[in-house]
Amino acid sequence: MNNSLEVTDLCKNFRDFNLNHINFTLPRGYIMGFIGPNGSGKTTVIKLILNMLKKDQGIIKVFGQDHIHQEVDIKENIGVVFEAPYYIPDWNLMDLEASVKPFYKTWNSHRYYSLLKDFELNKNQKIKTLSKGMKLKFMIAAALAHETKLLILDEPTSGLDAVSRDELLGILGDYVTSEEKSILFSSHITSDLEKIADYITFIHKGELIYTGTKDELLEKYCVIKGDGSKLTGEQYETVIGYTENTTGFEGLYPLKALSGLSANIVTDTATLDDIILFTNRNKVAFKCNTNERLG
Amino acid sequence: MEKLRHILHFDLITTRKSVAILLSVYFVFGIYYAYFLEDLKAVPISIMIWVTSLTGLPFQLNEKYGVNYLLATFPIRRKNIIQGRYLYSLLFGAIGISLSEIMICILASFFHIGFDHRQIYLSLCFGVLIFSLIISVYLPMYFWFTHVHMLMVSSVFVYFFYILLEQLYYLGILNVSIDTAIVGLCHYFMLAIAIIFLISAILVICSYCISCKLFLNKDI
Repeated sequence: MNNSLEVTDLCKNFRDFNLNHINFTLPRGYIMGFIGPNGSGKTTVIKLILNMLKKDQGIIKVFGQDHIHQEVDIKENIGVVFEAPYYIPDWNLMDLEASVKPFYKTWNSHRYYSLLKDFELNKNQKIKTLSKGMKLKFMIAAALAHETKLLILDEPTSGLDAVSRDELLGILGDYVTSEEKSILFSSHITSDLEKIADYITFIHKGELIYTGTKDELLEKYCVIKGDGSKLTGEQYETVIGYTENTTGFEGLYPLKALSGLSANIVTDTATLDDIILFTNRNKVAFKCNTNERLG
Repeated sequence: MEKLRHILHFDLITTRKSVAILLSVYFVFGIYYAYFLEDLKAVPISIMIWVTSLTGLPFQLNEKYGVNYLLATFPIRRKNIIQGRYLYSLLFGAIGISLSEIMICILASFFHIGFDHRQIYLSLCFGVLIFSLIISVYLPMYFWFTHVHMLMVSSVFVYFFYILLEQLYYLGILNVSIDTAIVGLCHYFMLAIAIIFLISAILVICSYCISCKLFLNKDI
């Protein structure tokens, strides 16, 4: 079993939103950034993996096992951190341990309190008195207090300041030092993922736009800026998310096609944020380009 | 069974403060009936109705704070969640019955009220029936609609309906009250108890099956 997570042809239909044929694979020992704008379907996919939502079609395998038939065994080895802490606010961090511990065979109280100490959290403190950054830390402590092989994070950095986000990346970096452990990190703050993710899965409006290594994605595209009139018709068609502004135009462009561009067009390195932003403006062109070039 | 124990433990931690507050409410009601009405038959029914409303508390809190999302990430099956909720409800039913027994003994000796054991047991059975009826309707609704306040509302409604029936009887508008029915059923004591428990059990089992049907394929 070399993959922590395999999602094949996953579909889920709601009245006003459809998740269409999502495919991705998270190899064991790696971090996958799960990106897309708000409402793109990231949380839906995570809920489907956790069997909170019932899929309409597709196969989900966690550690090579079916996510429904082997649900209990799988969840024994998964740690989940949501954006909000779904705990009773009046609980302190010891109540939390007392209520969650019995569910996990591998729960390690020493590890839980050790993590709280590392995160500078007081075990007597009530959840409602914790700041957002502290809430994230205690949720991570609760998720890592049992033997997890897969950590699923659903928008954990939303609303966090830069310092807390940086601390989180440090914690996650420490976690994946073991080759057994993987992370599925859903976020729309892509700067975090750019630092730590090995793989990227990008979905938009319920459709898979890209899945593969982060480096491959970033090496395929650049941002171009300049005078739009210098572009040929074919080049104009190739630009993803072509946007006019006061100084000219900007858009995403395949690096392979750069050679024919006018010297007046400025090129810049594309970030994941740029890719999401420009794709959001022209998803279809991006998808065609990506599929064509990545085979 | 182990998973059920864990869910039960989880729910008890969730509701421990509210339980302490509400237990004191039951004692107030018990004393009210014994002292003002000098009638201990009303104590079990009264307690069971209020116990019913208490069973809804963890569901209410879980819904309010999204704890059900958390439960869905634990290594348990959905069926365990349903079984846990029913077990929690039945446990509180058992607590209600035990409380009634204790309360009746305390009140009887404190206020020097004599009572017929058969009448008390029958009134306890009526309490169990009311409890089973409300729980059996409420839990499937909870699993499907998550209408968390329904249990509290329906318990209060049933409680006031019970008081209304008694008052109408005392005013001479009704010929039969639950109290007089209990006295009448004492002639068929064992049969009445068996039938009431059978009906209660059937209600709870049917309700459990419906809850499974509704919740196992539901999107959380």
